[in-house]
Amino acid sequence: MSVTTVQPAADAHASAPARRRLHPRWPLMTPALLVTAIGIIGPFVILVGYSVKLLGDDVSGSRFGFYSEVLGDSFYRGIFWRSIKLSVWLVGATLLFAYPLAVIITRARGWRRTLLLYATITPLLTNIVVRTLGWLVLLSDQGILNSWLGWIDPSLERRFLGTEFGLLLSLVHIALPLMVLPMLTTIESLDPTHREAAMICGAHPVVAWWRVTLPALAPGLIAGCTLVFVLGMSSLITPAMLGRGRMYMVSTLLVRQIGTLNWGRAAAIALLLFAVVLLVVGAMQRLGSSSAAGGRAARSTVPLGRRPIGTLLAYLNRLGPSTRLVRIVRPVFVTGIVAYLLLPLAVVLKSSFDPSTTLRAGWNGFTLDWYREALDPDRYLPSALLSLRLAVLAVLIGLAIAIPASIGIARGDFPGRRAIIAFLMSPLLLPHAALAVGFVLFFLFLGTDPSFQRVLFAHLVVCLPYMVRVLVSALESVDPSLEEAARAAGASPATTLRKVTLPMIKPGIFAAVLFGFLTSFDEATVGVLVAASGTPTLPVKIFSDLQVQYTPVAAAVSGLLIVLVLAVILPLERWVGLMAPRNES
Amino acid sequence: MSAETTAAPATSAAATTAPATTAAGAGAATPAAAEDFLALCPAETAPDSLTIAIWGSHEEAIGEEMAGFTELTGVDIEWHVDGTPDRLVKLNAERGAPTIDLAVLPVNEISTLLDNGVIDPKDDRVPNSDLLVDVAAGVPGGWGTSQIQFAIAYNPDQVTEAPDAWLDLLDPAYAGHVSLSNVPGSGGYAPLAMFARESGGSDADLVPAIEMVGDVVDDIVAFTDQAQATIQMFDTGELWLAPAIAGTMLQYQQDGGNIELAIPATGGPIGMNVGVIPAGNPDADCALALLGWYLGPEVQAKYAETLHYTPVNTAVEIPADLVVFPADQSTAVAIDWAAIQERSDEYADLWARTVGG
Repeated sequence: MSVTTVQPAADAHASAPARRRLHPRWPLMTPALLVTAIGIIGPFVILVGYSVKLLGDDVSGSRFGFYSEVLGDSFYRGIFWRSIKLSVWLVGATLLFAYPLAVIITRARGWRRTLLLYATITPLLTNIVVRTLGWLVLLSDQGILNSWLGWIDPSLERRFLGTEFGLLLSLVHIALPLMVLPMLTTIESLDPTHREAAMICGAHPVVAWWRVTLPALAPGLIAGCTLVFVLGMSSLITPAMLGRGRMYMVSTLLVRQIGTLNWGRAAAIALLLFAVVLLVVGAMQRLGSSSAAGGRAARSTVPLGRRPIGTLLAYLNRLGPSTRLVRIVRPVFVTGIVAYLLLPLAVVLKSSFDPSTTLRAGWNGFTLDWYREALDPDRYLPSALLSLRLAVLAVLIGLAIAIPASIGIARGDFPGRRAIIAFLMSPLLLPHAALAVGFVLFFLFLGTDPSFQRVLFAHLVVCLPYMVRVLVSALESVDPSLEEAARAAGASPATTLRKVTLPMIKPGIFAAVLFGFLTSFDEATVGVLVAASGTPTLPVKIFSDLQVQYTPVAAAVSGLLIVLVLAVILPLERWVGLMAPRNES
Repeated sequence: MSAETTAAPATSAAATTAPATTAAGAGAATPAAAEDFLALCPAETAPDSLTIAIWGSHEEAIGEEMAGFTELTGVDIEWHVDGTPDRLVKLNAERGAPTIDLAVLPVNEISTLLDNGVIDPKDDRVPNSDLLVDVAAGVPGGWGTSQIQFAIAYNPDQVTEAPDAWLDLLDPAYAGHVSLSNVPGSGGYAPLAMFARESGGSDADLVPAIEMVGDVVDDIVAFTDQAQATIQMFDTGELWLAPAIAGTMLQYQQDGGNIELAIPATGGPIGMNVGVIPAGNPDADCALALLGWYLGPEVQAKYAETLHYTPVNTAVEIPADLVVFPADQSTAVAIDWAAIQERSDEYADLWARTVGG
């Protein structure tokens, strides 16, 4: 039986609930708003001041001279366009692999699920410079990838470094966990019976997915796309190293202007970048909100046959499901994606046991010397402990702030809701290099001395957007009627939170903790400028050492971090079931 | 971020002959005594700690030798590690209220900092400053703390004759196998200055040199700020020639890297790190004492041993079997860094359009 109309997703799918209209829950959101306001408004105002020549030494010429310089110059415009294009490609390429991977993870059980999950998050566990060096080994002309291609057919060998394809290949590697983790909660929240009902009524699986599943996936999809787009626009080290120094992005321009003390022009570039990212993220947010509320589907009661896509879907409905194809493709996909996720890290880990002092593909022996150096109490250990302390505190404080704020946002539909989300995301949208300069000048203006608290605050400001973004999408994906039922049964708000809400968003909390921890642990740009003297944080230490000479100790540090995180998460996950399927919780 | 780079100071004009950089004169000079340091930093007014801003791994290289200052004065040393751009940003942002007591920077950056009032003018009370070689003592705004030399590193299997001109880096015969350092940064300016000189130009105008790079930009395999990226490319065989800090590449060679180092007939540019005291430092006198300790023979000898820097202190005796750069003073070439720095914005902009457009 062919299906010519499909019920709107809002009616058919309880996992995309209609949002109740509530007044803003300001007490829940105020701490997060306050942290963000202090952390972003001061630096933002300073950047604006420099960009319009109210601050700084260069005050000659037109007030908006820096903006007209940048916008009127085809070179700068070309760099902006290149960054936007790369970021859009990055989102598309990541989505292509992230969605099926997320689905496969949610359907896996036991050790397979654990393996896939950890393979997905391991790119986040390696220092960015060390990880990029691993990609250099893989993608160089005489690298591992070309050696494999040459073994198949010498004509397949090609240049990857210095090309957009090579750059995309490495960026998708780090973007995948940013896309997959927010989607996991959303996918877990889907009620499979709705899609099954559509298929029983004759809808082809693709049609059922398009009409029923996709709108419900919107919160997680949009969250992931937002994080990945921002990653693409702010990416600096990877394009510099893998682009061979010839692929200038907006962040490259920005950092060079900052380094040559042209802060006015740097501020103008940073604010233009902020505006572009804000526009795109805002558009994605609007798209996601409409889809999640079923607004677009609710308006769509037109029979399929009246639109080209409907013709295609109607054709598909007449086809049988290709389960045999799926059975062949799935294991190939899983093997390929796991290899892709783990190969650069395997290069890094191999280097950590290799006695040679450069990253080499071949086997050159075995040593534990680099690990001994990494654990040297006078070398990297103090920095590692400082970074660990900062990350743990940033995550704990961040969770305490982000969870109530996310509840206030996700369970409300008040005027200005989107603006509040955008405001809370704003530290993410402003390039860290510009934010760092703004922070230094802002702290000087406040007259604060360098201190651990100052660094912790800076880390909290950069972590909070990730945590809020992930938690909001997690909350939007779960049915609030369960909370309402608990309240109706007499449970207090605290009991409802503890026994209903938090368990339902466990995967979201896991993702928020992971993102928050790793963002803080790997943060160097802001920290190097606002830090107190004395022990530097670990990424600052590693990056600073690597500028002088390569040392495999950095690879050993990455190896230790991978082991540490897995050693903590593995038993926690198995015990608490952080990422267990909902029906196994 | 630019790699650690240093440069010879501009004196009165661009020098084309080797400056006086001799750093071996054992027994001829007497290092500063303890009293000299304590006179500047007496216990009753000394702070609890002083902060040095410097590149990573220097703390490990000279930490033990610097600990002697703490033993003498009771003042702890805090290390603030970062890259050159971050250090410049921090110094400028904190102008007048510095959190750094002593900063070590490439010499090409010093003139701008002095002109903008970010650092104090030079103070002759620095202990050991009377023992410095002329080129280190002649830096306005600071004291040279170490010397390096730029050379051309090359793969002897692919480049069978050692390059004898800096312009060999732009030779089409090596297309696709050469990397250059980025601009701004003295690692990028050094070869450009030599391109200019070998083409009949001067350090005062690097535009023609940048345009020469533009003519062959597609033949350059990489423009990099980091030594480890260059080493990586040599290791994979992708790179045949690259300008580099000779001491850094010597370490790679000693670790088994298949490279040789060549200083062309026109010479190897000299670089220098310089110690400066940020303006407005309430502990400036103690910072001067710290700088004096940094210039002392123990630290200088350790730099020569670990990073192959030529000591600036004439009281340091270099062991016969230790290679430092410049090893042969006749190959040392002084670059007019002040002239280059005056047009650095123009060069950085032109470079970005040439390379990154």
